[in-house]
Amino acid sequence: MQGWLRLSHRNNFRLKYFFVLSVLLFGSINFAHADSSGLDPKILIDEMSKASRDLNYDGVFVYHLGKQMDTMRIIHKAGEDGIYERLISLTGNAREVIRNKDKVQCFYPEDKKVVVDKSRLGKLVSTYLPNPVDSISAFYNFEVAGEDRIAGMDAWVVNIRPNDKYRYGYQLWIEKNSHLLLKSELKNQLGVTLEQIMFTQLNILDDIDDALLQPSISGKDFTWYNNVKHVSFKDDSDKQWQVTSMPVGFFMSKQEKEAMMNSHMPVEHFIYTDGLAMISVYVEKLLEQEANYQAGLSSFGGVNTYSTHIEGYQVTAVGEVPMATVQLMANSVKSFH
Amino acid sequence: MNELNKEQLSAFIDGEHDGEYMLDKLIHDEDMKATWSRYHLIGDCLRDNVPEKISNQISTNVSHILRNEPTILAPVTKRFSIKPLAGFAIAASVAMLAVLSIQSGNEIDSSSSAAPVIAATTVAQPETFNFSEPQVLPAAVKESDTPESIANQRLNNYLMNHNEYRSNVGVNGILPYARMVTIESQE
Repeated sequence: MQGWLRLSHRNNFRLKYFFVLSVLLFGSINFAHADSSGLDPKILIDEMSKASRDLNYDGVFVYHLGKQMDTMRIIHKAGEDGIYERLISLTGNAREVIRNKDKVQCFYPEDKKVVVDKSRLGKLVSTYLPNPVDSISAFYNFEVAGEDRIAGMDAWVVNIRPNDKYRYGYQLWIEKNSHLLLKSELKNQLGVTLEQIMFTQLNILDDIDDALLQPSISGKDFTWYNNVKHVSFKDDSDKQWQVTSMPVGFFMSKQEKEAMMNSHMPVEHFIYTDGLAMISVYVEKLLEQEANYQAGLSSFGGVNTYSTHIEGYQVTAVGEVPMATVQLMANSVKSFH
Repeated sequence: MNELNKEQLSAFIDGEHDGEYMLDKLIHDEDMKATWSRYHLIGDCLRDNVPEKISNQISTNVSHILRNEPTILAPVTKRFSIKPLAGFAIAASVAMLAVLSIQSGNEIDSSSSAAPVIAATTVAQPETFNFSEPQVLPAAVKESDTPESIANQRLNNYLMNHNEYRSNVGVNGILPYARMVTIESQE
């Protein structure tokens, strides 16, 4: 340190420069250290998936999408007979979503409306794979990028960077003890955050009182729309559909004809995944008055959608992937008899 | 320019003269400006503080650039913007608080209620902010049967359906779940 003091005034600039440089260097050494401390980012992510599913917790998080910001409370119970979850919007309309393994109920107090639908809980796409995170290694880079503190708890920061322009990246903050997800950012190729959630408070509990899982809205003079016991459609279509082009690494994990609200016919639904990103492709017969209307591209936070018409059907791709990907996949849909 | 003025100017440069008076003079007197920059150059030479090349036109260049710079008019956007000028950042954050407090009151009238709130906070230039209808509370507009509304409703269904499947996936399970609450409802 003696030597530093003898530096003349003129060398001040150089000294500052050196300081900045050393901070940068030490910073990167710190990151490297975090990665080499025996923490495998993929194992952390697997642990996080398990914790989010298997623990009981009650927390409040901020949801940020474009210019919109909302606060929500989530109550999650992992009982013997499956998962019970309740999500309550704390800002704007007091919407609530309650779901278990059988059904999802969405309460819309502003419209005095309850929509009940079949639950897709447990119909996991990626966890069907024996080793979910390993299967996506080829298309993403994983690293433990450092440490941070969220909602008063210490977290590991894990980066998931895509290797090509057909996927988005994630930055995840995983609590060090419980491995619950504390913060999550969905990022595009330029590193711009498209959508994020961050817990401001999170309590892990031994048990959750069933009363906490009841809707605060009785739904008494509400209109109920039930999509669970849907009348079966007459399906006289002999058309078979196929998605013929997609980025490398995506595979089909589900194909099903689904009855959907507002649709006069069952909708052909394909789900494709690379283990992390998920893309739905819907094929639905067009109504007569729609022949000249093309919806094209639209986006909702990190979700992009693209619709096109093929032989009197509307083909729509929906997914947390860049526009190029949904466009590529929807345009590649072909029919055969 | 007389000797007295030169003396005063010299004193001003050394920080020993009433600044406001001299500044006023400097702005209006070309001769004095020239002397002022000469004095500074002399001072710099004495202190060995001179670069290899000297431009005696810096002040002219700067004023030329300033004169030709386009006037920045803050655009009136739908939602208030904190981009335009650094000074506006503080104003915007105060305005943001105002919006938040109105929203929590849940009685929003875009034009009439916003104006008095702004006035009360005594923030400069409130007219640059335009309070829009909040996105979070969409009016319950009955959808008609136009192709566009049919397509929109269908897209909403797809988004809900997709997010329901998506919310199972552990990597980002809560995000799609949050979307379900935020997406507009459909019948």
